[in-house]
Amino acid sequence: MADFEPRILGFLCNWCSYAGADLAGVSRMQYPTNLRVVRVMCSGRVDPVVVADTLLKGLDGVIVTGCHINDCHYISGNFHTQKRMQLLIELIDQTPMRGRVRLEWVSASEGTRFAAVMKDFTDTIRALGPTPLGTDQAARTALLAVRDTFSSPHLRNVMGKYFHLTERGTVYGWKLEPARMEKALREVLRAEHARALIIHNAGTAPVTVPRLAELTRIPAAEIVRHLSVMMKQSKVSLAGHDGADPLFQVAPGAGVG
Amino acid sequence: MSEDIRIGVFICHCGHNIGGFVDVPAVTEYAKTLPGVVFATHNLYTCADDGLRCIKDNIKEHNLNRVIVASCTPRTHAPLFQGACQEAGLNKYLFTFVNIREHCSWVHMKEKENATKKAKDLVKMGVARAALLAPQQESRVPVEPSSLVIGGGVAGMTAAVSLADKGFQVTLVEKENELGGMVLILYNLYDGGGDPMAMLKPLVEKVQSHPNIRVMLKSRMTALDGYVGNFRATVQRTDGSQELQLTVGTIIVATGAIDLMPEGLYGYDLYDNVLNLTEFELLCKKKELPKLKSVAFIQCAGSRGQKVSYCSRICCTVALKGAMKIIDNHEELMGRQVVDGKEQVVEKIRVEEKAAEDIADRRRRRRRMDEEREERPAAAAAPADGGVEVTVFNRGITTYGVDHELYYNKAREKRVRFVRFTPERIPVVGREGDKLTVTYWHETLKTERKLQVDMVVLSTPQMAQPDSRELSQMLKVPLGQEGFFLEAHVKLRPVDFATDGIFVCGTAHGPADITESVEQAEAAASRASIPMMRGYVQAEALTSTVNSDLCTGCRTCEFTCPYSAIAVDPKTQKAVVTDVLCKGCGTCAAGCPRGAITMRHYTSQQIEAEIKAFAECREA
Ligand SMILES: Cc1cc2nc3c(=O)[nH]c(=O)nc-3n(C[C@H](O)[C@H](O)[C@H](O)COP(=O)(O)OP(=O)(O)OC[C@H]3O[C@@H](n4cnc5c(N)ncnc54)[C@H](O)[C@@H]3O)c2cc1C
Repeated sequence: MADFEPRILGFLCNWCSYAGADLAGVSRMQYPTNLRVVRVMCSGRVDPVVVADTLLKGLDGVIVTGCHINDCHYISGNFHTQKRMQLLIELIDQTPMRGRVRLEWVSASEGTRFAAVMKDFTDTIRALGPTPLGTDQAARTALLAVRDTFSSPHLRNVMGKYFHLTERGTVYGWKLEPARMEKALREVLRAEHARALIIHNAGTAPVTVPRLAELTRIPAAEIVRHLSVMMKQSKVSLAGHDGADPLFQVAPGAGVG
Repeated sequence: MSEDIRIGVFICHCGHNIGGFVDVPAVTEYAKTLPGVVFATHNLYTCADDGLRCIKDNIKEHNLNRVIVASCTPRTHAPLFQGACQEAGLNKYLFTFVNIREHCSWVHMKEKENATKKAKDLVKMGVARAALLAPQQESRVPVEPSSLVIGGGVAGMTAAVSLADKGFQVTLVEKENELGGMVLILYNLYDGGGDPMAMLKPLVEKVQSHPNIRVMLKSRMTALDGYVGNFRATVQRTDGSQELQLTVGTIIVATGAIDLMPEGLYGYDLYDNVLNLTEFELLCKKKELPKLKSVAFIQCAGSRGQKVSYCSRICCTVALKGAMKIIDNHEELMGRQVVDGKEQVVEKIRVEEKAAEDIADRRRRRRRMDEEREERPAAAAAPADGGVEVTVFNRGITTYGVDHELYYNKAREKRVRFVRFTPERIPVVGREGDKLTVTYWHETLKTERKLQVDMVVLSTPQMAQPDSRELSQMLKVPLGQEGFFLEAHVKLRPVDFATDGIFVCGTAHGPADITESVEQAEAAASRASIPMMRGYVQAEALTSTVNSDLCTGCRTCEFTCPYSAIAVDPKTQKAVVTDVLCKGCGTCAAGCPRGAITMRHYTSQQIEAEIKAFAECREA
């Protein structure tokens, strides 16, 4: 692994982090050559699904950078980035892809910081080694489930309204307690993640609930609850019985990828 | 893709800056192998005249429909190269910048091989992106040279005059039947401001006689439509008798604040002669104060955690102003009445009589509670010399700034007493006989003490207008935690809203005094005149678009956008983008639950193509 050169993709917002990277250049701050940059106008443009997809394409690490909180060129874009990436990283870190996604704030005047952040992230990925996706099927399955979790319209809806509901209030004029909103968001995240795990772990043949519980490490009672919802969504169907145990079949194309 | 993609790549040496650390000819040769590239070359300085000519000539010669320059940073040089493309007849949005200097040669000066590989990857990513670019159009939206000012206090009037003097038509809408706002009830002004009417009257006259200002009293805005440059507002008389439609380019919010009603605090709704700060001012003005021998002010009444969380800034100075005017003019300020043919000082401001009708915008609920308390003859509290004793109970006096602190010194010289209390042990107002008492904990002596007074003034904070939420929803602008209007950026854009064309000034934005309100009003007028003077707003070409087949009308985008640029049309139940308001951040696109939003020039396909190009670089 001595000659392992991490392949890292960075999303840089135009107004802060991209300018910070420019300043690192103007100041001739040296950092490793492993980063490739995608420029976006705001870090808020970065969809967590795209971040997961980037890892699925075989890259070793992804770093998302934006303006510091309260300094966003678009006022609140980075609030959304922060929420989205915080949740994404939480789920990623439960998979063998742990540590391969990072969120950092770098301002236009922080050239030194940009170089330091990139060096540190490159070192981290170098220590983690090449992406396990090629060899570890479980890693791919887990990552697919994360990606699909963030494709869930329900989760995206709750995530998108988070700040509005906690800070500006509902259409009825009352605000939600951040703690309550956070709890609701967590519940949706957990449920959507569980369903995505079911879809990606079930395989193509019909499976029983105990088997699903074993594959996903989710308690059987919870699996049953999710399956009933997923049947309504036509994502799974009943496919006979194995002795007394009902068999469930995941519909083809139920997972996004 | 039906279109025949013809990409030209121009790679810059930037003298030694890139060429010294990256193998530019090798990158050029590599570029020639990439899909869609029909021409690639390298220049010593692409930004020099001959470099730009090279771009223009080759667009024509090779019929290029995409141009890539790999050189420095788009943040400084994009307009130059885009200009060259435009001169050669190519839409500037078909140009792609690849940064191989700041992001490559300058930061990898000792690793030529790796730097060259990185430059190749970056060019490859740029080529992948370029193939998917689409031409974009920039548009201008005309701006109506007129303004709507909501609220006719000092702030609103100052803004109106300022705009009218610049030649813009102003409609000033005031819900009461008189201009002036809170200043109308003030007896005097601190900072040596003297008689409030002396400053207010000329301003009102100027507003009323200005040929460019139309004043609409007893009116409110009831509906709003449109956007910067072209707002359509409905203004209605409060009695519903008249309705008017007007089109304006900009809007200024100057709706002021109200005073807090300290219900349930310090005996306000139990005892006579307990007043809030506004009632006190008004009774001074009307010269109807009760007997003044001993007076207590209680600071932070209702603020800083009691009913509202914030400090209202000006009440300390206002209370000192009150304390000093009592000391200086108590004879003049007391109300008199004739009883049995003899004139005597009014003894009581009764709880139920305090509701002065002329105090604007009051929502008063008052419970008259059991008045009968222990009846005990009160000891005389007046100082021996026959003067007036004023005590200011406070949690620390906030007379901020240079002048206000001098004001504090002056109050000390006049023997105003200051007694500190902590929120854990606040003073208690009670009654003994027909005297009010203030029982308080003496922090230094560590004992409880009792003071008899004739009057208690509660220094209550300025509060957000009760209807500000309604107004904020009409304007689609946010309110802060405490219900005041919230600016776009506390330091960089203090009188702007995030929504273009709408501005805020005065106490509508938060507690402030007249000086500050007027400053903000001048600032808001000046900011509002920018688009009106220019006559148009440049709409961002890079905006979001909605695929209405995919949109489910869930409003997630509406709640995400800080500019109110995207909203679900109630008729079609589909999201619609107002192009002039959209700033092109793309946050809505990245959050849409159904993938129904496309961010122009930063489409998902374009971003994914870049990522894919890099992912495929392994062997290169
Ligand atoms: C007790 C007290 C003492 C003070 N003493 C001093 C002092 O000594 N020195 C000093 O500098 N400052 C003093 N101030 C502060 C001063 O009064 C304010 O700074 C000033 O009045 C703010 O002006 P404004 O125009 O922003 O708001 P306001 O004066 O409140 O005017 C707002 C106007 O908007 C109108 N309005 C509200 N909502 C609507 C609507 N929806 N549609 C149409 N019209 C609407 C209101 O009727 C009102 O006329 C004092 C304030 C108080 C409460």
